[in-house]
Amino acid sequence: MELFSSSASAPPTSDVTSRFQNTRNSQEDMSFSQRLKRGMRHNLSGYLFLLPALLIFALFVWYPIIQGFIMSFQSIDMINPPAWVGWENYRQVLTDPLFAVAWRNTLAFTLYALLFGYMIPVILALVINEMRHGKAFFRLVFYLPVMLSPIVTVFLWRWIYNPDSGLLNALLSLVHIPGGLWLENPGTALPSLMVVATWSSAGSTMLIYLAGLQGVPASLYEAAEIDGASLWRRLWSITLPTIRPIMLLMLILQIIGTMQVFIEPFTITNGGPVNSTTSVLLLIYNYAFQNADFGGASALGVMLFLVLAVFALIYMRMTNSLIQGD
Amino acid sequence: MATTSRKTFLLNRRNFLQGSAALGASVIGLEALAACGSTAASTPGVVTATVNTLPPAANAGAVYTFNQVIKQFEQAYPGEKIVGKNDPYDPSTFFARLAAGQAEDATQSYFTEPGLLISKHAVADITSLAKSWQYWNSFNPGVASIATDPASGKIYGMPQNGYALGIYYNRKMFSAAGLDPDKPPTTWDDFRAYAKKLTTSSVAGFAETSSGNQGGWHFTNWMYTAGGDMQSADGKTATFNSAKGVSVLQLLKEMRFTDNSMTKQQLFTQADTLQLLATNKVAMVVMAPDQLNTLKSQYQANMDDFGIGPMPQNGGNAVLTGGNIFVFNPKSSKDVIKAAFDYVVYSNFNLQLVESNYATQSAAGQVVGAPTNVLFTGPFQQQLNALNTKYANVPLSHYTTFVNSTATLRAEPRNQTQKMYAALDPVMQAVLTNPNADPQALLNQAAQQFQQVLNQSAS
Repeated sequence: MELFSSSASAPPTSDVTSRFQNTRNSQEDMSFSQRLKRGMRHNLSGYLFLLPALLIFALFVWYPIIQGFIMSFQSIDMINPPAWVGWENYRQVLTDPLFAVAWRNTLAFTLYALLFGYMIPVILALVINEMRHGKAFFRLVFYLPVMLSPIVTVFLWRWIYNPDSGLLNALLSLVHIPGGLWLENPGTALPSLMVVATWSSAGSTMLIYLAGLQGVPASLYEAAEIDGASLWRRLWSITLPTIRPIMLLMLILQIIGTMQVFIEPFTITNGGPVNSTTSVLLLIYNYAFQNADFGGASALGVMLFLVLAVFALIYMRMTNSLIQGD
Repeated sequence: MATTSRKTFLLNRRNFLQGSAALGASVIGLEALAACGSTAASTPGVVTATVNTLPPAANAGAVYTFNQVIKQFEQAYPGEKIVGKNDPYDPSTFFARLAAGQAEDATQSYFTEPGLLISKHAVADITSLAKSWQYWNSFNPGVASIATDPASGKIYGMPQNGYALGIYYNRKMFSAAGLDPDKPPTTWDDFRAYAKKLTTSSVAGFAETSSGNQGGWHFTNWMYTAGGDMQSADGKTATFNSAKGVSVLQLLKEMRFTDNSMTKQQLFTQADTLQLLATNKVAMVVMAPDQLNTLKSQYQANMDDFGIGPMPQNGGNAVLTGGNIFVFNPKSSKDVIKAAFDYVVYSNFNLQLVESNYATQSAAGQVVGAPTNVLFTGPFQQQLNALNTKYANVPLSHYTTFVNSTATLRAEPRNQTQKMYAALDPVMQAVLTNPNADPQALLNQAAQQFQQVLNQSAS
């Protein structure tokens, strides 16, 4: 009787479980510090591998970001000790007539890029995906501009847009359309730059979409064909919904990227003509390196950061929901 | 047995990985530390100064001449050593490099820079050194004022060469258009007429800069030829939206849209317009005489084809000066600054050295004789001119009208110069790209904008 009662009160054990309970690997037996130590020991080599990357990030990414915040409240010219000026830099930046111009230009550029530059890689990917022959050739052709160095791109497009002797006006004159002042006209300079930016980056986005399109099961297409669906119907009902997550991600990434446009305005038109291509980042550059006003540049940089942070948060939300499966 | 040997293997591998990771991290750390500071060992009693004017390695003749000069300097000034670096001045990186301790002890900069540099305390005070030099007072007053802080009278730089802006023109195109190549235009009306005559289907008569603050820079030049002022004498008011300012823009606008004697492409800098001239796409450009060397060495141009004439005038009889000026690192010690100063003076203004330099440069194929020295007045300038003429390897007869010009040399306005130029760039661009641009309205807007900058800087 007693044997039964004593064994009945204890939890049922077997050889295996009692061995686990008796070793130090049991979770319930270990204290927090013991668990921590064990975790560290197991992962020490991993942390050591991370260490150089963490150091580099801290030194070249996080430290400058924090410095940027601090500098936006200082009057700083890199030579004399910085002086604390509170909100003065922000006030000066907000009252600069170029502030509104730069934001308007940047938002206009982002909008042009959305209307024109966003769909081009999608269309290219869809078209190439449907090809039977020559896929590799066209992939290469559309990716070539991405591989060109920015300086080569600048010279090439300056020549294309040259109103006196450039390629574009020459081609237009062949079909009896009068050539225009592309980069010299304040109304057309920004869209012209957007064409250059799209041309030089569409290839890489197209490859991402192409990779995504490979994930569409061929059986779906076959079933649709059997049911008599036309090409357009197949695209609309099968292909686009499959790459919709990628398209949403690329949308946010594109907005974040195009709001930071700098290379084309700086190298091709230097903000002109008449400030029609001055973007926010170009204005930051001019504050810092033309006026030696690093405080003002940092203040504008902080403002840009806050705007982009909103989009980045949206992006993070979206990637989280994608990882967890929507 | 199998378990323990596997455990041993795991421990060894993990230890190896840990060890190599630790080693890697420490190596990176050491390298970072080493890169932080590398000071050259210095011999006691010998002071070493750095200078940024070493010519690029591709120009072997110039590098040789440069090093010869240093040798001679070190003989003449025992105890002072000079190290040259090929590091041309770049306004967009200078402040950062100065803060990082990477700026040389003596930096060759441009006449447009000292105003900003002095206001930001980025240059050393060399008043005592400058005043003790025998020829400081021979400087043309306009040139000396560039190196001086008007508020305190202190001297912060050593002008090296100075020039007036002028018109480079293609003599062959002049002859082909029926114009006398020895008679470049001297008035605005002549200039406009010449440009019209020189324009053909493949050549434009004139090209002008309008980007990178050079639009405002050249606007100032034209303004001086019209007799106008950019700022009030005390630098507190913007005055460039006067009738004379409008006349400058009107001239350019009419040349561009009425006469069609200018290029359609705009947004140029000086480098672009020089290229157009060198490649025979344009007949006349506004340029500084020190670009002759670029024309010869970079573009391999035939120097006989080009001439330099004075700026066409419209009542002002004046022209904007440009030039190079040496500034000194405020973080360097007094001894080092003195060594650098001695070198600058010796290498540029020691008459025997100048003569032997000209001879060497001429033999090495560098341009000698470019009309760049308008720094001084009086006997010293005459001596320098005589040497220039003696060793010239460019056709000096093509530049006589420029050299003999009696126009007054005017320095740039002092206050917030670069911001003023930046405000005027869009004005120049508008006038050169928009046939309906209203010069007066554009100037008024730019003056209003710039006046705010002036007011803020005064407060």
